[in-house]
Amino acid sequence: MEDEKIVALFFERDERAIGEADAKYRRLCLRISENILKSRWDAEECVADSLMALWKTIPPKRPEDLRAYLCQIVRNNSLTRLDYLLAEKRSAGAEVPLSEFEEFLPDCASRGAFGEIELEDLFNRFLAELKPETRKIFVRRYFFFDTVQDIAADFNISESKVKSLLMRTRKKLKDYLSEREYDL
Amino acid sequence: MNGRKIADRFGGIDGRYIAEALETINLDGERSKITMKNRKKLLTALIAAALAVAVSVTAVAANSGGLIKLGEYFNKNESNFGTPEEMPKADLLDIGKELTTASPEPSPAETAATEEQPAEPEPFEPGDARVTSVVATNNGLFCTIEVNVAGYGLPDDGEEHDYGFESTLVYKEVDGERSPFPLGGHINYQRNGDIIEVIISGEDTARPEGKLIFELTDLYYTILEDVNDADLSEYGDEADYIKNLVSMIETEVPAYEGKFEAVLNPEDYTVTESLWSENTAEINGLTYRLELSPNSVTFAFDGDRDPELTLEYYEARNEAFNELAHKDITLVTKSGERFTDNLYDYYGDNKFIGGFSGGHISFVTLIDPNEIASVIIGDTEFTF
Repeated sequence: MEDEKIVALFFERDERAIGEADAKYRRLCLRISENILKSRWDAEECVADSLMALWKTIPPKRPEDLRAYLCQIVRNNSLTRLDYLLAEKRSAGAEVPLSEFEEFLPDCASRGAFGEIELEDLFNRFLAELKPETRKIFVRRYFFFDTVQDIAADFNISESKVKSLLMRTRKKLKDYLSEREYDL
Repeated sequence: MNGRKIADRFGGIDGRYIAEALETINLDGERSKITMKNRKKLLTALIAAALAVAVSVTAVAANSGGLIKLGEYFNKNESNFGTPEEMPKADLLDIGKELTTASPEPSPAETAATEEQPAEPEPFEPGDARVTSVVATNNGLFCTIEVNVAGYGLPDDGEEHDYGFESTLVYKEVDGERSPFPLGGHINYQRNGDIIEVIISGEDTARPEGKLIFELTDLYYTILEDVNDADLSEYGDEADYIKNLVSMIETEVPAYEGKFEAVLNPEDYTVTESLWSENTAEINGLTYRLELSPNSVTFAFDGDRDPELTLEYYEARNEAFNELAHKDITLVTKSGERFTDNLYDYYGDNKFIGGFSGGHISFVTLIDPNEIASVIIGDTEFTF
């Protein structure tokens, strides 16, 4: 079923909407969640949770891209679940690959909420300037937490190329932020 | 700045970039990943130490389901939900039907009838599962399922083994139609020889209705290994990092790859309402109210059972939970007795089990809720 029709079912409060969204995007959502949680069972819970979030947020929201909207919810729910697992010391070793940023990404605490929004905006402008393939790989790795192996396979390039491309892009981001006088 | 904060920063990426990246994901390709079977869980020294002293409670698996909201989705009778003010102050004495637990003294007539026709005990063979007690409330179940696992692969070597089922799902079946999504709950296990008691509790299961089908699949147990002796090949480049992080590795070993199923018919349980506390507490900008049901105490978002599930909300909820989880919780009974415990204290003479899930924080009390006069969490005393 087309996304527009699924969204329409949500607006009509037709319960089939959840089933249709599940049937169409379940595998993708599980993949994203498993990237983060490394556990099929936890991922299944997060996906179910996310489908219900769709039901509760549509309406009033009418996402332009249902798939992206759902995947963003899945990602956020999975990160929340990861917090819980780490807090409970139950993690199966799930680690998001973001430590690579820790040394240079600015802490916006001193700038308050405005600083957070500003940084998000900068990220998006930075992404807009990247070559499409680089941007896709960057988002795959740091938004969806795909492994280097999976990215290399999907883009039909070597793992070392993925790693070097990511490293160069991180450096570029660091310079980009630095030029805009973000305290690093 | 930790990884999670960074992850949040990236959460604001423009949807167009998310969409174009999604286009590149090949779902049919082979992947290397940690599978559900035989996965290894990292154990910190804290957990290892806790296992060493655990004697009576041999396993804890408080799976906090994210499925609560799906459960609510299947609540057809939405009039039963509402703001705390709208909730009926129900009589908690009607707390559902205990199926096999101790019942009042039988009358002489009943005794005679029983003597005349002694009830044939239901056979309970290896592989069988049955619901032995249930309390169903407007916000979930508290029930115990017994599973006979004799001969199903759990070791009997005198060692302490954690164990459990890879998934424990509850389905509703109304008018012959099974819910497409399972419900969830906090799961705890206790083992008594060949019998495993699976305790499902918490609001995650939402309002039960119709026939309830409990599916417990893939029994496993775990072994503890020194991290230096363990095979860490599946962790690839992260193996060294793991070695620095922990001293012990817990490995899950499949005992039985199959399903145990128990069924609870609607005539065997009744659904009751809860009480809401008269006062509220505010943590991190969110107002909470305590909900006391016959099986659990839920720290619920006040006046809004369906909060918008934004990242900000989740963060505020998580912060609230983290604050709550480490506070002592005191139940004060009508007779003035006090029971104090902590959600993180799973071992020993614990009076609470539970955790948080979805939009709510819940814990289960093993004290008769009819006897609870108030609950003290931190500086706030909630009265009913």
